Amino acid sequence: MPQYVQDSLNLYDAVLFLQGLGNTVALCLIGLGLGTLIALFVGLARASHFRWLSWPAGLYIEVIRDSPLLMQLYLVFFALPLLGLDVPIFVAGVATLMVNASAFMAEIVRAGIQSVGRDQWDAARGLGMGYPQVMRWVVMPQAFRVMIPPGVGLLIGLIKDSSIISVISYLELTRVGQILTEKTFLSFQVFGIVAALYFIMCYPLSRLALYVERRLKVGG
Amino acid sequence: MHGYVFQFRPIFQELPLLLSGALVTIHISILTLFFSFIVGTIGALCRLSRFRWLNVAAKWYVEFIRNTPLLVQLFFIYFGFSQINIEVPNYLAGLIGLVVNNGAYLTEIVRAGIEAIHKGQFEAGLSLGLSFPQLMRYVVFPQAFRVIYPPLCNQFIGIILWSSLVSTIAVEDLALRGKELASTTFRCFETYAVVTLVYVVMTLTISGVLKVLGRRFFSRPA
Amino acid sequence: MVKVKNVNKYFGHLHVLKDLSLDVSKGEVVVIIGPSGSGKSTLLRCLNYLEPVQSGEIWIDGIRLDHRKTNIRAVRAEVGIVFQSFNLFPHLTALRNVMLAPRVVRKRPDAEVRQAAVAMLTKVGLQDKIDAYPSQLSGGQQQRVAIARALAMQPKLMLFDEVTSALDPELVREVLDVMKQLARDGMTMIVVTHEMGFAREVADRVIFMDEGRTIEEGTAAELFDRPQNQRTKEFLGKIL
Repeated sequence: MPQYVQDSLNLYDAVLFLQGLGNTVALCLIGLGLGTLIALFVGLARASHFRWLSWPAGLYIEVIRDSPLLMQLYLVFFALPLLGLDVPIFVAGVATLMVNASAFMAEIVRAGIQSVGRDQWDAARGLGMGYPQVMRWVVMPQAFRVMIPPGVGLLIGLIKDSSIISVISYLELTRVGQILTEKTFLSFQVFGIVAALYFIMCYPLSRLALYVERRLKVGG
Repeated sequence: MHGYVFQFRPIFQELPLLLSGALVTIHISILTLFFSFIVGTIGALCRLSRFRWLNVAAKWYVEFIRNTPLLVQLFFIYFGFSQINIEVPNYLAGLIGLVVNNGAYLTEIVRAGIEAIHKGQFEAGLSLGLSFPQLMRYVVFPQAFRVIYPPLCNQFIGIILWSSLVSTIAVEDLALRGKELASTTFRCFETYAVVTLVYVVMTLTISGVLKVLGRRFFSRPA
Repeated sequence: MVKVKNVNKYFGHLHVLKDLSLDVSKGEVVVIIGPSGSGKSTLLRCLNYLEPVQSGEIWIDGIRLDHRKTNIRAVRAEVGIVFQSFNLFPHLTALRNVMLAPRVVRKRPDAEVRQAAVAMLTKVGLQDKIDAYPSQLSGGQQQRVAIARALAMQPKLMLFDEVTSALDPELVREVLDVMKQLARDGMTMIVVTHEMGFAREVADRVIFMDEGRTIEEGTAAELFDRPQNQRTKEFLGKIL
């Protein structure tokens, strides 16, 4: 079959870029959302005074932080069928990002919880509140403010990390870049556009994180 | 998981193959660290320079690298070379990509180290008649290095982990050897589990050693 | 030795030194007093070009400071300065702090530099502390090392910028004693300080500065006991 080689980018390719962009956003938002949910539990466990909770949580976090994301992707991708789950690659991608994000987010959650001073606990307990109530009404709302700048940082990291999902051939933005480069051999242009699109997603977020951090410092 | 038995034996039999990949991972990481440090130092000096255009150029370099994925940067360089018909060995393309990437992060790390130094140190050095290179060598860098060391170690660990991406441009590191092994044994999960274990062991060992070294060289009598 | 002619200095829009002129002869000890913000420290820092001036001339030992062809490093090697915050190099011992500049700037051989450094530290009374790090020394000791470090370059002029202001009162004396000895040995010194007793004892001239100008000058006795200018009287009234 003759290979059709394009010698320039056209409008159909623009659609492909947008598709990749959309898929990247979907991967990241869902991955971050689910990952944060898990992270709330893991983070709480890590901050707990009970060894049997904080230790396994710590192990989970360390292993994920000290192993390459690429390996995590392969592990999740090949583990899922072993568990009997025949899922589309999108799910494998989301699952990987979810697990990865949960570890880093758990540390952010832990730091946030521990940033709330002891005296807040003492005051709330003194008023007769139980542990869950202290968490819900006193600690978490304050911890939340502290978690936002690093949380935005995590999102930026996740957007960049999602490029790895291209390895399992999911049609996110980097994969689009690979496909179009194979088709046109215009690597600089194609990956230039891909890089620019990632930049457009990430740069405003990093300015936002700086802004929020500054606002938080002033507010006290 | 009915009927699936984990078989690790075939993997462990091929451990030497994996370890040869691990060796490549280690030396590409060390080279990356070395060259990125040079790039980072130059970048930091640009950021601190009084020439506005140097400052701005370095700033945009850092921002661009930090807001785009490493994988895209690697592909840009790797496929870019073939676009302009220059033949570059994969290893070199991977190394260049890693250095360009980490150089940006090191720029910020080195800059923070230099900025951590009290302004009076510069004044004292200059007023004794030291030239700028002498000031940097005898006064600034010895002090800056203390501040730079911990984030530098973290960055090195990051380099080791993210170097796995060069497997996508066919560099024979640990990740690629793992991929080869997985496809020959068909034991994908087990293979990648072992490879991940090797990465974790490498990372924890190296970070432990670096911590001990740091304590030895950086504790001054108080 | 030092000629300052009609110097104007701005920090942005802030006019810090206003048409200031000053002469200091060789071997003279000049003390500058004045309220904070009067520009005293800035003047000192202009004298070794740590700060540039926008207009006017500064001459050190016949060399014009802001001339294109002037080798600033060479001039700085001849002008020693001691700072309020000591600015010792924390990663070097006292001995190495003193040894660094002669070795690296004047390129003297190691053995000679070491000997001279030990002698200098002995002169300031710290022969027992040559291998101590700055963090192991008291403020007064650190400041004396700073003086030794500046003296090791054998400067023609020594500048002192409120060198005792950051010290605990009981440590001030040891530093002033070193400075008094230096004065007696004939060093040309310009000292910015609040220590009036010191000024009375060793100053050849005392200059009162305010708002970037020299307001009044005279011998210590003249200025402290019989100030002519109203602002001088006000300032002295506040601190004496």
